[in-house]
Amino acid sequence: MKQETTKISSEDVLNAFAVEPSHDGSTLERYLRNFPQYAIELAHLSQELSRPGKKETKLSEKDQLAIDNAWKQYSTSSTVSPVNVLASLTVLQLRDLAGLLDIPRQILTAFREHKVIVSSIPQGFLARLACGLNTTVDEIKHALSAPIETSFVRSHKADEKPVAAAPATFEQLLIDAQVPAEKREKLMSEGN
Amino acid sequence: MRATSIAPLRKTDTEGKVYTRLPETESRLVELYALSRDDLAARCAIQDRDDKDYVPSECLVTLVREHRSRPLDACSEVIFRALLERVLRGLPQTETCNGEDLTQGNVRDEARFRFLKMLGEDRQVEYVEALDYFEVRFQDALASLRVNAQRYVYRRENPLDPVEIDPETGELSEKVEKAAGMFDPFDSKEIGNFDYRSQLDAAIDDLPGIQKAIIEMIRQGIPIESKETGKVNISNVLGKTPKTIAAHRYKAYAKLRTKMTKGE
Repeated sequence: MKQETTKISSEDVLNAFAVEPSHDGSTLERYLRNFPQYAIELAHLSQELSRPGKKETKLSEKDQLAIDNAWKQYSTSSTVSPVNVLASLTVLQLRDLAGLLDIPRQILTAFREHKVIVSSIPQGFLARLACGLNTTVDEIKHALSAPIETSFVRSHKADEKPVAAAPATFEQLLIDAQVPAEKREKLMSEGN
Repeated sequence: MRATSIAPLRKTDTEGKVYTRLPETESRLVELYALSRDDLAARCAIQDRDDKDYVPSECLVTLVREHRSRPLDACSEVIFRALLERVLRGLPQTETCNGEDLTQGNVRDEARFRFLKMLGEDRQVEYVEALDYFEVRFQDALASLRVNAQRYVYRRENPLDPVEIDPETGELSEKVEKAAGMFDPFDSKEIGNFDYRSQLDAAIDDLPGIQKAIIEMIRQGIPIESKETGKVNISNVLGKTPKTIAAHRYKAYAKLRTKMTKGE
């Protein structure tokens, strides 16, 4: 869907202009027509893009130190995983994803809570899930195999502390969710 | 054998179409994904651009992001460092013949900070769509990062002198008109010469923002004014009279001529 030109930030407009295949007069003219509010910035970027490539220079000691520090900071940071992405989806998005995959929503909830044996999920289904989450099959597999983070477990009001259920096979989850046998067979045969 | 699928990009262009990597980037990624981590690290450490195994910067960005949700290893460090070196090489140099240029240093730091912030958020918080641009055309996205960082730093250092605002320019002095003459720095036979072009770019950088924008629009063939309805022209997009635009052009060319000919 085309975005309203007044709502696009200057950074997005400049980035979009930057990655255009060509930066000739007609491209600049098109952007000036659509985004006259960023005319000066666009012209400056056009000038910058017209410059010849820089000669290779050696990085300074200060640069090397900056790289060391950046790596130190990056490597000690925690990560976001596709499961986090699954957890952060709104009810509506979760429903859409379940619809796209043609499964009941509770299957995705089980995935989110690591209640599935990853090796039991058909490759074809994993590929569709990865596509729906804009990620890779490997990332999904890795995330589903990772230790569960407590914040993603649903809370329960009970006198006794709930015991985490053991992971089940993908097929068992489908059975528990009362997915008809014919559809189960179709899902289980994906990519196998 | 590692990952077999390459995650699609998510950022959409101004028409709402999702960006895609260039075919050559995708095919190189398929090749790189098939390597062991040790072999991948060895490839990413190659710095010679002419080496057939040199890994394009677009691929380095993908490789860093592809590993975002996994534990980092020695290969991750090699890829990360290689990527950051490419970023730093593409940012303004702070050392000049007159010593260290503090403003350029600030632009360099700001751009580096912005890029690292995106990488960090991409790993820690959520997918950062702005990094997709670097997977499409790395050097061009880096140019955009430089310009955005420059704008931020100039505004911070000159809060009372924003580049967009410029007083209306009246009649040109005879001196300015004489200095400009018919001089057009882009019409020189030297324009393909690296040193001439670098000198010209440095002179352009010293122009006021509006003059820099005007001479670029003229270079790109955008007319100062146009009688044709709907035709983009400089006067309209900048909201100034054609006379003012012409005066700015003369002033800009006069300054460039003085710098390029060292006042001769």
